[in-house]
Amino acid sequence: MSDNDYTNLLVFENTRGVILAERECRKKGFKCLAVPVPRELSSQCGIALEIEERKKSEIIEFLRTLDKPFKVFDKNNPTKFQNNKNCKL
Amino acid sequence: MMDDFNGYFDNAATSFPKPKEVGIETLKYLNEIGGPYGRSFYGKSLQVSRVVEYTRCMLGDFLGTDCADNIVFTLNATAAINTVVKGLDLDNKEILYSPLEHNAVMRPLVELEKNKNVSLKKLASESDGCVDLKKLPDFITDKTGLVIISHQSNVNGVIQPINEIKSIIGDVPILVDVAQSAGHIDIKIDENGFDFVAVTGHKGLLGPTGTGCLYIKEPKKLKQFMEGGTGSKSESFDTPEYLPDRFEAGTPNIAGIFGLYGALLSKPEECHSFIDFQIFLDDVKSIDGYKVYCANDLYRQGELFSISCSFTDISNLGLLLYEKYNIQTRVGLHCAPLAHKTINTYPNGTLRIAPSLYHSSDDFRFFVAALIDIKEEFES
Repeated sequence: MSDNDYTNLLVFENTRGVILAERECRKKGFKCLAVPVPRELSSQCGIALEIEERKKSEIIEFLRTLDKPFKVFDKNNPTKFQNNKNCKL
Repeated sequence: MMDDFNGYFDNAATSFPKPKEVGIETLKYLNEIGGPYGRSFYGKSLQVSRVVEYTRCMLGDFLGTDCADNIVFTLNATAAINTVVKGLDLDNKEILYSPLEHNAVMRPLVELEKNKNVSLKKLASESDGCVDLKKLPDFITDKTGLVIISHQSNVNGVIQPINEIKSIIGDVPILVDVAQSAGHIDIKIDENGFDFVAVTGHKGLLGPTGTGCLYIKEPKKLKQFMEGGTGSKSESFDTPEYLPDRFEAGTPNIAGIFGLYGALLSKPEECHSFIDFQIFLDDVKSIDGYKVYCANDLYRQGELFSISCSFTDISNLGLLLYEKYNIQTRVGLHCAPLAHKTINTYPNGTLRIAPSLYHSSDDFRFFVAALIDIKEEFES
């Protein structure tokens, strides 16, 4: 899997959100990677989740059911906010 | 002396032995994984964060709630109780408590009374300290701000009817201290609508000391009493509003939580049944010279009780049990003077017998034989 496969970045409000999202993604067979939150987005020391491009819609739709607020960003252009539904950050 | 006799009868203080998984997981963290919780993205830190969050989920399952998000880790049940007593707005309110409360409840309450305009009221009870449900409604007023109930007494093992109590008090918040009952009795938070539940990890859950948690049904009603770094919202001096971050400032006891994770993963086999325990209790009751302090009704009896004796003082009895039979018990007030006042054993206290699931009926029989031996020696 190349870097180009992971072009979307999910930022959660806390570690619990990331860990549970990661676990549920893996249970469903979705691939994801934990990465530091880009400095352009936040100066916090938290973790973000990269998700695979080809299943982006499916994953986002699925994660919305978890009641763990998150924002979706373009990894290569993090300041470009993609989606603010279900987000209370 | 039995070769394989388990002489540790102080499990109400802390459990021993622990399941082997407790040591394995704790050492795995200390020797192999290391790393912080919730602060970094690299493998070690992620692995730690996973274990901490999975443990939180397991505690939710264990305590009967779907809202593990509303569980925050604490040092112990005492810290959890203090979080509620100090964090709720109780000014001009009445606080009701059971007559078997531990100092983990009484000391924070008395301190609160010194500093705030609160009124403390002890609930009516039966002779064993079990809350009198018929009289309970008379205590509830429009000023009642909190009801605090220790689910299982650490002195005589009385199990309070917490489900019925919550049902009677309705919307009045209840803080249930399950320090002695968790791991022995199903708690069922969601089913009963408990507002706050204070848990320790090192007793019935068989985890390490320095672990515990607090369940908070409505976090907005509770203020945190400590602020600090959480690894989230780091650009702000304000504490995050969301859970668990708001109540978990600073690095948690990660090694302890790994141990608790091991405890919750373990499936220790019970070495005795409740009937074996009942026989043990009845056998002790039947020996002349000893007085047993337990629940009036067997169905309200948890697996611990206290004794006193007529032929020597309990400190000497405790020493003889230890020196001659390697039986380890706890003598005194057990940090629960209120409970001892309730059952008329204040100020001397009692000798407490608190077995664990690892005790067999042979261990119980050996204990009974030791009590008979000691009594006969005094008679001869």
